[in-house]
Amino acid sequence: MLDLFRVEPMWASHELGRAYDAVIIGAGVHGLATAYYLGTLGIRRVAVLERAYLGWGNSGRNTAIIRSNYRTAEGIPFYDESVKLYEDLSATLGFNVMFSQQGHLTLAHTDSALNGLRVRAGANRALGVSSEIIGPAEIKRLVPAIDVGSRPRFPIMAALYHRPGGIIRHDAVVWGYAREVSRMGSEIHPHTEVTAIQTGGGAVTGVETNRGRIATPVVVNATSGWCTTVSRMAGVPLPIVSEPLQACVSEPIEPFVSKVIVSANLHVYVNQSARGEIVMGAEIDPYQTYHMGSTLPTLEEIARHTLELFPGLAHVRVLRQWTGICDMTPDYSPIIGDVPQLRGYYLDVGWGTYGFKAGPAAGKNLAASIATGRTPERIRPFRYTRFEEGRLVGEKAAAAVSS
Amino acid sequence: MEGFRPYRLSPVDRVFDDLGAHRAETSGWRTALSFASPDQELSGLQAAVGLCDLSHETKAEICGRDLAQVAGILGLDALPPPGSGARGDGSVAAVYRTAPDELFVLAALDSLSARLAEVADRDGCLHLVDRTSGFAAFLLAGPRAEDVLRLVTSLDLGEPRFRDLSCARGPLARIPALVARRDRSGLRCYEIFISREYGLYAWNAIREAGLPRGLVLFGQAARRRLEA
Repeated sequence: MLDLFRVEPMWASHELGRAYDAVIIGAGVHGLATAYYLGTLGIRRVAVLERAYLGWGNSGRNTAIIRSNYRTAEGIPFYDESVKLYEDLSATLGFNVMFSQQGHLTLAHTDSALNGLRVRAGANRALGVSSEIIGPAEIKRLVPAIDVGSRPRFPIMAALYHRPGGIIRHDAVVWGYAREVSRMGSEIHPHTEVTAIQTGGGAVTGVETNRGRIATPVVVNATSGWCTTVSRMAGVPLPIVSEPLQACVSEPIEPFVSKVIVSANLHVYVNQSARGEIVMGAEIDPYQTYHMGSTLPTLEEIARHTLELFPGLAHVRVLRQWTGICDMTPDYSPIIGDVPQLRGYYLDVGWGTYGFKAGPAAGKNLAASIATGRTPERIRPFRYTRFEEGRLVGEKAAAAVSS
Repeated sequence: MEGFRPYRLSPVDRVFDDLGAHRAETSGWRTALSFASPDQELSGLQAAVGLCDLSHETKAEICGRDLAQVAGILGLDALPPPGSGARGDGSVAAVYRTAPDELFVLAALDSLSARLAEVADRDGCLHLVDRTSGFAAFLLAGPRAEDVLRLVTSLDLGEPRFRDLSCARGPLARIPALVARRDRSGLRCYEIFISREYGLYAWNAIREAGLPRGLVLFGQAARRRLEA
């Protein structure tokens, strides 16, 4: 055979060391971004452990939507920082992550939904994030294929138009971070499962893995889906429940929709990938499980709701369906930062349906927290201690649909 | 946008414009009608080797213990033995027996749907999956087709193992693929089926392997003449 297929690996393989300055559990966008920004701060004796392959978890299971039009004064600037980091990420990593800032429309089908969008638009603009309410005619102009007539069960009354929002190639983000992490000298260990977190004297001392023990003063829990079970290894309970979320893609079709379309009332969000696939996501399934099987009822709901918006897709077939596990906190905001009762243990968890869009900002701020010992103001509202302090960051109004 | 029906895209659609393809819409798919003149394409593939995208063709997998039931529906007297195939009756282009309990059916566009509906209605252990959009499909045709294919696959393509109407699963450019041989107009022809995610990669790999051996791209116009 012709040797046409030689490729350079994007990250190096290593024997698992016995000691590192930091161990990061989870090689998705959060874990790898944390390792990358630790590297920029000079901390490069780092091991990123992944029980499967890179991006196996929610980094490869999301619908790749990026936005910052959240609801709270804590959430908006945080996600806005992430959008800005994503805007520069291709240049930062020297790797095209295919960020298409095509704009993001959140539809209102009821008066109460419209009121909610008005509040968000005001909060966004007050914090410097582009958001505006537009009417059906403008929606139709931006998305000619959408049905804005009065015939649908849920007529479209208006939309929150968030121009910086868009879609990205999520695999490319993971690979780009991984390549730079490896170039910096940190190590990535796929197929390395943490089975225990060792502690002593009120601090983390190491982790046990299926490939041996590692001594380390810093452990970052950057897992999704199983963050509670990992945290339990450290004796740190998390106020999180894990629920499945399903999505699917159609067969590729000609360019059809050039904006991200979200409908909270219809529990569906739709965009079109660069390959032409229509990417459709659902609301979280209303039960707790770690099972990642996909179900026909959810697929039917996604299809039915998508067709209410886009009747022209009626003949298009679904190509793939998949499920991710979302870690939901009581206030629909993440938990980031240190844990006072266990020195050296850091959390980057509870990312519900909004984790991928936050990866760069979470990684950058968490790395700064680890490197300096001080929690950056940007992530201070999301600390673990907020639950016992009664300082919840209620983001459900802007995160109830997985957009 | 009333009544708008977006057309479907082949996995390699994005490179067709760069390759100067003349486009056409064929039963809801955007296809490449030609890259040069059909005459040039035909003479090029007859002299050396040509590569054509067949991804818009209807593709179906039928599997199960009661596979024999479907022979008549597909217009066959009997199913071919495993590892071989049979030419269909026109609306069915070919039926490949990829395993003792599995068939891969290739048909011209939507002509298969009525027959597949009949298969789906049958009782017994039969499972039908429409793979049309799930698989990229390519046709490699010409006297040097085997030479080119050998560069990208380790499958045993030699006679008599891989004679006309043979099929086998194996790696192609390191990707799992189904390769079938169905000669046309006395020319060696291979059909290559590969998961659509790897379609563009496989297309590029075959093209890169074939270019030094005179590979030409040909579109649906030249293909129709080849199969006439």
